Amino acid sequence: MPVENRVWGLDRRSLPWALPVLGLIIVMAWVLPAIARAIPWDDPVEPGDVLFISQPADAFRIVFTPAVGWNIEQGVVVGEEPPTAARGIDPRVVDEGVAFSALTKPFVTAAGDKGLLVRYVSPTNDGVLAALVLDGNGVQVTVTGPAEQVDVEHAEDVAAMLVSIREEEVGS
Amino acid sequence: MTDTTVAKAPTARFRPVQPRNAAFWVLWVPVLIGVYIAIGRVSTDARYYGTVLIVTTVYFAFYAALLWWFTQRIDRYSQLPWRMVVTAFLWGGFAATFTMAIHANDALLEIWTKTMGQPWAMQWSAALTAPITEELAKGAGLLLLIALAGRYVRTAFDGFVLGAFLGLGFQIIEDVVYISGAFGANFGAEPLSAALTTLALRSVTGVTGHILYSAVFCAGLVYLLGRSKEPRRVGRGITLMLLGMLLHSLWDSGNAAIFWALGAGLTGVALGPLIGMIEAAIVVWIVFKMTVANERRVTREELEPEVASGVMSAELADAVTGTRRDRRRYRKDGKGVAHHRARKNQLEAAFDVAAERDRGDGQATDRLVFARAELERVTQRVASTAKD
Repeated sequence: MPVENRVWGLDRRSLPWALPVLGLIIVMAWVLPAIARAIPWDDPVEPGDVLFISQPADAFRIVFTPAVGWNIEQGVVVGEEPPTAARGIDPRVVDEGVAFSALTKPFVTAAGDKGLLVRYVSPTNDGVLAALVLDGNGVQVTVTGPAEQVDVEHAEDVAAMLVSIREEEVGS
Repeated sequence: MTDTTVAKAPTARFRPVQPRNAAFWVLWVPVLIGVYIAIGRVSTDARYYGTVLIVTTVYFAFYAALLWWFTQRIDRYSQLPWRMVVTAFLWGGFAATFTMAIHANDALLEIWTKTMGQPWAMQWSAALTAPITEELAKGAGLLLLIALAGRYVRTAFDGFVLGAFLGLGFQIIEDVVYISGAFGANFGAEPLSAALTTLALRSVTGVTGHILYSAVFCAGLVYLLGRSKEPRRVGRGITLMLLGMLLHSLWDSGNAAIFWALGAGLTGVALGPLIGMIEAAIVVWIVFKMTVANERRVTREELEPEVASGVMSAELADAVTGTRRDRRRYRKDGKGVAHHRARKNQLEAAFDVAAERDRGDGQATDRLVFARAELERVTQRVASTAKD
């Protein structure tokens, strides 16, 4: 490397290529996230708003009525749905640090029965609520515990128990 | 070495370690950060979904190898050094994804939602987020590769091929992340089937995904910059870069803009992916044809001294730098299986001479001398098997 091209031990000629990329990395990894954080949420629930939880079929939808004044951080108000995007977005409304969110995920047991499963997260506990109907009988499952235990260490056991729920003939 | 052995073209050298080059640091530090983030994500899953993760890893290794082979076949005229190609893959897979795009995507989605409202964001944010951030992040890798070894990036076609590898890395690593997401989606209930569904879906669409968008984008970037064998064409460059983003955007939004314009609503959305694949295939074919013509012309010019000194005939040089059909015509000229095979070997040997010229910058290196001797030997075989 010729002496006249040295800048801090680097080749000056490489800077016009490297610096724009460095700038792009900084913008993507730090500047954009900082801008996103700086903009406040401003989408308060108006009286009469109803939020989608999901729309499993054309004919019906699952909804709830959020409390007036809470901020909609995620979710679609019935009547304001985008023309071509899916409505199955998990809604989340927040007020003074209290978050209310709902989401549905279908699951299928080892025996082939379908149910709905909801995860929830709180500052101290994580959990799973699941519900399914077996031959007309509703089954409700509640899993709750410290986040680390539920999410990581016991996940496999929880999953195995969930999918093992089934109807059996007595004596089989 | 027996006289039946044909010398295989050793590819040119590319030095990934250049501490005096600022691009070296700006390339490898983000790659290492990306690897660190990626390992953190994968190992969390490995603790309870180990088996599934191994299955998918094996699957993707196979998938990567397949695409690798395919992309290598395209780069026929003057092969890029393999170290450079691997570097492109690593930038695309780790730096562009984990160090850059994921942060920017989350942030931009949040910005769209906060400023434009939820319904607007749901409809348009997919089209206006990843296509911009991800194409820029992958394209940045090309700038660094040019700074590290600019002499190998001479034409828009070189940009096209490197772009494909930048995209290949991105595609494969992104797929692994999507699948980790699929494991978690059902909280472990039936992780295998959930993962396999995602896997099947993404392997079908992957071919027309990141690989093609960034091939188009990076070809455009080379036109915009101008290189030693590719005069600067700003308009064409910017058009191709925007086209790469647009293809990506149409794909991510399921061609929502088109259906919205047509008033087709939800019913049309199901057709989105199919249309996206067709659009991408058409555009890439056109850009490939556009860039490869100059690449062939440049390679043919570089072979002129070999033709002048009688190492190869003009006819052979034309075939080597011609289309697949030209090479086929050359191979099938004359009669007899032995003759056709000799002509096939002659083409390979001529490719080796072209590669060695490229590698040694036209200097009479030992390897070039050897490649010429091999070509001469095979050419004699062509003459001796000819029957009229």
